[in-house]
Amino acid sequence: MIRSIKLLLTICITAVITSCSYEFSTDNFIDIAQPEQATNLIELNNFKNLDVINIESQLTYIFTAKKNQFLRESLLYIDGKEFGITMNGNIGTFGIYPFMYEDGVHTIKLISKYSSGTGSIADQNQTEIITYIKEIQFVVHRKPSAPPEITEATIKDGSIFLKWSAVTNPEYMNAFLRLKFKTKEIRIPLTKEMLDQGYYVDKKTVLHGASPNSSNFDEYKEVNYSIVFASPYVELAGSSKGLSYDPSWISLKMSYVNDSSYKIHWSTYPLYANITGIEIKTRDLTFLATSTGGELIINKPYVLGQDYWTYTIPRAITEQYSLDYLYTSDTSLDEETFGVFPFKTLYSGTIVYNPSTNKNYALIIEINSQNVYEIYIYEYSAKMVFIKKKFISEFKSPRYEKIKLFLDPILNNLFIDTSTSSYTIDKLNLNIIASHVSSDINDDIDVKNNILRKWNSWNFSLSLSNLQTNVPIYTGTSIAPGYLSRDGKYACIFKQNSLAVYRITNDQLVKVIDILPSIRIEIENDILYYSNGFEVYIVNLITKTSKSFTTNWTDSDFKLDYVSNKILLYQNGNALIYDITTQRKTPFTYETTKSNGNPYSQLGREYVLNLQNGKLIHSKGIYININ
Amino acid sequence: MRYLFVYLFMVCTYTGMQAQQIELFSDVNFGIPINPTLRSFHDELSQQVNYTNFKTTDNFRYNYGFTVGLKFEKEFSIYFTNKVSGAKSSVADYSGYVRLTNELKGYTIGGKYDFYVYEFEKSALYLGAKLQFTKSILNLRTESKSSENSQADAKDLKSLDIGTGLSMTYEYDLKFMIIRAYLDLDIYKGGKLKFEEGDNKDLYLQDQSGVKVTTGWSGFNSGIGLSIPLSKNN
Repeated sequence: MIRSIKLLLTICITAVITSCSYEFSTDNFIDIAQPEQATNLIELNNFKNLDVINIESQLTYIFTAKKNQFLRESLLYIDGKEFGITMNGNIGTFGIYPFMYEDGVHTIKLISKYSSGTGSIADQNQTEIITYIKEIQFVVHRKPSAPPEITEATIKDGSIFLKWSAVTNPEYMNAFLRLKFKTKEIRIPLTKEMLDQGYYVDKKTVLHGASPNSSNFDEYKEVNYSIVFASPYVELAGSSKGLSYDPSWISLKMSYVNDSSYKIHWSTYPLYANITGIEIKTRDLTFLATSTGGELIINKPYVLGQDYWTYTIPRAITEQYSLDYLYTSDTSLDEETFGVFPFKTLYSGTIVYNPSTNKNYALIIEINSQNVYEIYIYEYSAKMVFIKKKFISEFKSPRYEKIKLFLDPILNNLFIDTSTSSYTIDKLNLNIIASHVSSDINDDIDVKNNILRKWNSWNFSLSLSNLQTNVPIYTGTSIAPGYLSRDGKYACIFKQNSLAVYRITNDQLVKVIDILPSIRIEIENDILYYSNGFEVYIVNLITKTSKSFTTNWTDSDFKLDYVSNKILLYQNGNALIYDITTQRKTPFTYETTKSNGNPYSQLGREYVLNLQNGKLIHSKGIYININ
Repeated sequence: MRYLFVYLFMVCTYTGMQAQQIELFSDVNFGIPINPTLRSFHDELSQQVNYTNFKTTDNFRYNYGFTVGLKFEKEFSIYFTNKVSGAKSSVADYSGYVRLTNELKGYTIGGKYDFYVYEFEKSALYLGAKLQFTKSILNLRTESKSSENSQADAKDLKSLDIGTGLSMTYEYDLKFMIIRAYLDLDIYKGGKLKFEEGDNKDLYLQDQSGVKVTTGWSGFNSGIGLSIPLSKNN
């Protein structure tokens, strides 16, 4: 037993001894302070919390730490998504691109990991890293505020006055007043002060409608104003108001001054303050007209009935507007000087005034759908306002120069002579009262106050007879058709190369006077008018006294105005009005050639003049009161 | 293996105890090595650790241990000694620590023959000569902990050292036990400190200049202990 105990004791002692270990000294403990969480280590330059970022922005921040603390890692999260930072030492730079974000508040999270700088073992191992987090929010407004609406766009004091509704603290990067033309656009930057002002006077815009054959004739015919707020991503335009060019803005008129000059009138251009003037180009003169209207005498004879084309263009005060000329083929006539009526496409040789109805009547030839010429009577008021028209007959012989209209001086009805026929027309309803039609196309007949004149161009026979009494007055030969006055009292007959005037009394011819050969003869109220060479003679057939005046051309066409007692003489564009009472001659020129393609050109390539009731009437559709 | 070795030693000696004057003695001992190469080796190692305030606090400046043995006929002793020594460099703070420790353990079996030099009434002074074999185990260990990360690495190297020595022993007889004290001078020839693991078995410890590093058992040893007679002839 004792042996066993000793043996066990021996084994235990052995185990203790063999497990003996060296007792080391304690660790060399260095008592240093643990790092503390610092604050305000990151400062962003020029950025505050909840600042608005509307444009691409580069933000810079500075990380500030203690001397022994070193930045190990910098991270950037925007709305939880990691982005890169450019680090230069302790200065970080990163971009914010608003196009990536919806409008609203977004969060920037900057994480800076830096060494503690304590010098601890962990610090020396670079495993003692302190994380500093700074969060800051920014606001994105991709869309600018809604721009105000234009409430007024009117012309005021020669410029365009614009007003818009008030807007409170709008958000935008740029504000413009936008002027939209057809294709072009002009933007006027608006400062905040201008915007707050609520109105703007556009002193530059010019509206104009050029001729359709110019390339951009309608570019500046209309402008629409709106206010635009722009961000780098979105542009919003407020509701607009527009202003359109009106053709009446540039209104030109011509008036007759005298035989050597005429006048051009122009109206005030509504946007007169926005232009330096209106350039007016005419066939006689080009000039810069004042923008506020005016008139200019042009010392050139006015040609009655001529197309006075013009080119007009407002001259803007800036070169921003590339305007084109507006071409007007025929300038309007001043209605104080001229009467204008629609007459252009019709042929008429004669217009007569009927004092008993105070109306004018025109003999018109039209052509129907079967290409047949038709004779009409057109009735006009004294001021040439169209009233009605009446078909008289078809017209087979296109000898339009033979067709004439007369006023019956006794019953005040109308006579129409067409060479082969003669009609008496009721002055009120324009119905045919009586007609005489010859089947021989060589006949040239007319009936005046029951006296029938009949001449045959084939055998030169000439006869005069009283249709009422059925008594032949004269039968013979003549080389010319002769003449029968419209009251049926006088006739002119060529006999053996001499021309004589006869009075028809009790169905007998009584020779009154021999006159010089003439083919232009009118007898009115016992007065004989006729031309021979350059002379026009006026002969009193009662007293047989004679007077004459000279024209510049031979054998003039002439027409008597019984009312104004004037004679119209015209030939090849030159005309003359002779006042029988005052013996004053007023020469003028007129347009003879119809300018456009006219279906009636076969009947009349030339315009015709008439003088009735003191109205000088040009068959273009113009008359002048010459009294 | 070493436990078996000790166990056999104890059993063998125990079987012969009964017939002779045998004393069982046990000492605690303390030694001061003389310029051990391990000390400069540790300095070299610690200089390679680059931490601020990394400081060497122990460096084989002493060793200590226990000895048990049997003394036969007041002349011949056999004994087993376990001694330990060590070196340590470290730094520590709130964030962790870094340690470099070298622990040297030696298991020595030796024999000593004592001559009476002087004998008193109850005490005696002996001069002795020793021959001893020491199995040395050097444990190189590095440890660190920093911010929740811990690392540790340890290597064991072993050598067999042969030593001899002179011993001066004083004993005082208290009838039922003897108090003993001694002072020795040990001279060792250190063996190569070889790695224990397989592929490195042929490698041994050298300092930076390529000189073999040996254990530091040479030096002065002192001890004090008790001796118990296991049998008495008188």
